[in-house]
Amino acid sequence: MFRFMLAKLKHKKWMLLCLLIGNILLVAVSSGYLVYQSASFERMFVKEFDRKWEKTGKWPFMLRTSAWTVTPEATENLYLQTEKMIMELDLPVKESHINRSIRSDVAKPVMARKGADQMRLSVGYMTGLEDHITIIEGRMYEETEYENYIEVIVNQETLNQTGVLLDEELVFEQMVNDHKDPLYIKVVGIFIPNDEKDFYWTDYQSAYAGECFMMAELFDETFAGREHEGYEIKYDTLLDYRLMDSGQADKITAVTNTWLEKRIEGVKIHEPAYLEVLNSYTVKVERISSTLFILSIPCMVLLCAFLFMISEQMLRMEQNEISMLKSRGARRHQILRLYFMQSVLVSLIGLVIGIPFGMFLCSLLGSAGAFLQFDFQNLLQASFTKDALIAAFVAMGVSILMTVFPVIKYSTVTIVNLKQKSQRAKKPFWQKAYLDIILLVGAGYAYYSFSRSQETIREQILLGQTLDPFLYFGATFFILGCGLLFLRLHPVFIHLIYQMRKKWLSSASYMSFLGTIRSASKQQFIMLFMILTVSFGIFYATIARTILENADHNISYLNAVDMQVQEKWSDNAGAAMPGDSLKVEYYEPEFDRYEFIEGGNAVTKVLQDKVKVVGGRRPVKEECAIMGIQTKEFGEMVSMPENLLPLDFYDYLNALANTSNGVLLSENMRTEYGYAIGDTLIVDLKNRTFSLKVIGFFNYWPTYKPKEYSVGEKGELLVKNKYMMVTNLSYVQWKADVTPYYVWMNFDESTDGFYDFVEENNIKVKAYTDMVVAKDDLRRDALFQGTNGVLSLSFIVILLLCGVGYLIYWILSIRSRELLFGVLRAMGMSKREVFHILFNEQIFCGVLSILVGIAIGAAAAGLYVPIIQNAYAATDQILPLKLVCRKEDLIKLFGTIIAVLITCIMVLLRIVSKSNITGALKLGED
Amino acid sequence: MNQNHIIEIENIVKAFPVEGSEPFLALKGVSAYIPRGEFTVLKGRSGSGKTTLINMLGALDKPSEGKVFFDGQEITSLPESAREKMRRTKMGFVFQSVSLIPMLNAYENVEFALRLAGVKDNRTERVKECLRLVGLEKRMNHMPQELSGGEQQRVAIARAIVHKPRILFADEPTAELDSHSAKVVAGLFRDLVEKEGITILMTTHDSSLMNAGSHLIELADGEVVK
Repeated sequence: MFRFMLAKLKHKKWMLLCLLIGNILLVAVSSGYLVYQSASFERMFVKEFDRKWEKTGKWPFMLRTSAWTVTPEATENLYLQTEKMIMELDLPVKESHINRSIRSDVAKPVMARKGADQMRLSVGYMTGLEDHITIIEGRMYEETEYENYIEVIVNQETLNQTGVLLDEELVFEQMVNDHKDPLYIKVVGIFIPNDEKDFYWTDYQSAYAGECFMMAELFDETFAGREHEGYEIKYDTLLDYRLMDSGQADKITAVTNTWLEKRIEGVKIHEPAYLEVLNSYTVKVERISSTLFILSIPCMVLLCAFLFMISEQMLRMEQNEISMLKSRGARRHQILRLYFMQSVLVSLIGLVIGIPFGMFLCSLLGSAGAFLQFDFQNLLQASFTKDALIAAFVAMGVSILMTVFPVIKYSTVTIVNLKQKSQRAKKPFWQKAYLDIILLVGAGYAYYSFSRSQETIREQILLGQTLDPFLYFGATFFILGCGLLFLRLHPVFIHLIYQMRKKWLSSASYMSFLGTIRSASKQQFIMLFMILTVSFGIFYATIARTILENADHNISYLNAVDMQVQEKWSDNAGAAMPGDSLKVEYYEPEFDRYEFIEGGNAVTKVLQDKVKVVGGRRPVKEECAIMGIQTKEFGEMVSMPENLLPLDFYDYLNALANTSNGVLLSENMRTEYGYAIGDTLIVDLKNRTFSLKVIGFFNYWPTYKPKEYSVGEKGELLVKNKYMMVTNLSYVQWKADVTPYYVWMNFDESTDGFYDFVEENNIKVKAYTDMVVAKDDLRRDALFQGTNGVLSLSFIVILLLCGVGYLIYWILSIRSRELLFGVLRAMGMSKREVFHILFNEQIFCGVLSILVGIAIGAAAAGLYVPIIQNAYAATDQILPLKLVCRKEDLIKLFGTIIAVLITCIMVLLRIVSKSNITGALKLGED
Repeated sequence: MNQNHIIEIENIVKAFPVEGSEPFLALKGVSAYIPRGEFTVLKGRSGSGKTTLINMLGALDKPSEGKVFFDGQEITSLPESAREKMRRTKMGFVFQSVSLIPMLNAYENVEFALRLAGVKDNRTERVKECLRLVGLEKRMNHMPQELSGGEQQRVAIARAIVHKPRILFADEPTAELDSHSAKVVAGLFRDLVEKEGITILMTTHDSSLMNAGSHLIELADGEVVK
């Protein structure tokens, strides 16, 4: 049996190759997607924590436990429980340190002075403190053998907030030792952290305000073994998230929550900040994996359909052999076993080649910058996962099912049945079940319900909920439904043309018309494939381009220029006494330096601050953003998308340039507060007031967000109006002096020059945005890149299947008609006419399918992309969405399809020109 | 050339190349003629070269050597297009296997030959006439698969004569038919010669049909023996 199978396969090399291609792709795609997902989640996991670190300046993965009892047993218990929990979490520890303190007690200077008799201070120590600070005044604490005070150091915040003085001796009268002696300390030094961003600092400096640090040994000596009110020992463990496996997220959350719920005598586990990051990570993972999974379904289904089709074709070719085996007494299960063995063999080879190929696809996916755009220099490195292996085996199983399933039908046919079988076309199943109509109704319903509730979809996304998968299926249903409907109508349509032109048809056209009308069902599968390829191609190209470019344009709008930088300005604020309402004076750093940054090509000053509207038509409750600009430079550097504003962007800038105290207001100040052109409003900028005259309103302005979304405590979506005004920088500076402004810069290509500039000039940057980095981040965002990658790969796979399927279908179709062509040639038909028949069939089947595919794809994109786009819109998506379809994508799509068609026609031409009549006629005698 | 002969052949040789050996000679210098308006039977065992010879006569293939005259015209040297035109208009073919176009019904199959021959007028009448002649007028709307083997062959005969060819070539038309159907077909051929005045050349290895014709050529091993 095995030998028979091998011999059989050897004869059908081409079909075997197709089956193999199908198998390899199915395994590769299903395992590759999963490997990609886990790799990109790994990247995202680290990124989420990095982002949190960047935002807070504190190590994001910290566990804090604390205790209040001073006894060694209690301390021991704290260590024990913490270590137990860390062991359960099974995470790598980066660093841990201990902070023991006795909180806030009243201290007063030994040498009484005015206004300093009631200072609340605490005493304590932190392990490793010496290595992370610099003493800026005084000296480090030392052991004092002969003095009756303990030396302590404090940070600068303590100095500012409590008013202690350097070298001052203080006494805590309530804190007494066994001999009832109160505790004396002396502030011998003032420190600043070496690096505030150092992860050693688990709290902000302000949290250490009022804490007097002493030597650890002295603390223990003084307080150990005694009960003290306010005693606290904090055990901070920093865990290294960079060495963690993103798959641990759920476990970490679960273990942490269990420990949080535990009640351990004398030990408190603080709710760690990482839980929030993990939660948002888990939500994102869920959303991304479900989105990518749903996006990859059409490709998977087509792959299965392809395997089914090839298997069917192969069986059709082997029908004689099967019937013969059957007539000779082979049992049905024997035939099934034969084909099962064949399937297992082919799918095993598919598995062996498919897995490494899947890894390659995965690295390709990870390098996708845009639709059909792969960066081969920058392939994603990923490691194979267990899930991927399972997926590969599932794919193998599905493939076996798909290829063995059609055998059941064929294994019942004996040679007699075969001969008797009527070839009159029967209506296919889907037509009888009105599947096309059902799909279209489903698609229509999806469109109707989702287009009515676009706002709700956005809310769901903003709240981090997973989208209704039906949203994505709507488009797939639409494409499939339209495709099937076309197949239903296709013969009717061809029949209509045939009826109209019947009398004038050449014999070749007559044959092709009747052939297409009468054997429509045979071609339907390949036509559907062609339609789906083209329409999914257009749909995928549009969706991928639209989501990416809209997000990209939005970043351009929100960033306005390549870089916005605010240098840290020095001021006279330090000289002020607490409670003084001093008008702060700033010292402007040298601006000219920015003009010479390497790679920079334009630079301007932009004031971006907050003002209060204190007078005018109506005072505005909320704080209002103010932007002071240099109109000429601003206009030269910033571009606004067309048609966003009712007038040209430059008209606004010109109007501003012509009215020195003019101001442009955001539209909501007109709608919410009733401001009108010509009104005067008085604003307060850092305690300096001045008046501005309203000369216009805008809905959109570079960087302006009209609304801000956030999630409330109960998980509800909060929407807040944001107000903004734009005025002349020179006017603001005249009226309110020079206040810190941002430097806006544009660069030729890379912004690297800026970072070099900062380092070389030792510039202290207070805030900055880098659009190049933001756009790069967007392209590498797991959701965007995954979407691009999945859509691109699906498209390539579909294209490949379509190409192979189409060629195979036509070659087989001609081979099966060789006798017929022989007869036609014998009857006097020329080779040209025979080719004409085939060419016509290509037009009716291929070209028509392509045209219909284009129409369906364009319609699906127009209807569904705006809805699906919502799933990708960020909270700060401001610009109205625009459908984007790039010419180069379509050229790639049609270029490939036309190449397939031309190859097909060339192959047909070759077959026809090589055929000879007598050879073909002989076929009939077999 | 004798005006009573529709076809004459002189020293036809047909060699088929055989890899690594001498070419195989299917016809070894055959000379013969087909009388006009008669039913000629070309007999011989299988492998004797009947089909090869009929392919030469029907302009389906070219001999390696020798000449074929059709209606006084030498046809082996004609360009392919002329030979195609000749097959379309002056010849009709019936093959051993059923050769109907599967997606056309009986009527359309017959009509297709008229289309190929470029006949535009009175097609319906002519097609019906021919189907009546083969006794299948009532089944003209049936698809080939719905007809029996004998019926299919009769439709093929109707298709082969519908454009009023000078000659009808029938290569083993009864090989796949039962003896009753075979007799019906042979009778039909005789009728055609009588009523339509058509020339028929039929190959067969069926001894019961050897005497169906008025003229007999016998081939053995690529040579005419009778």
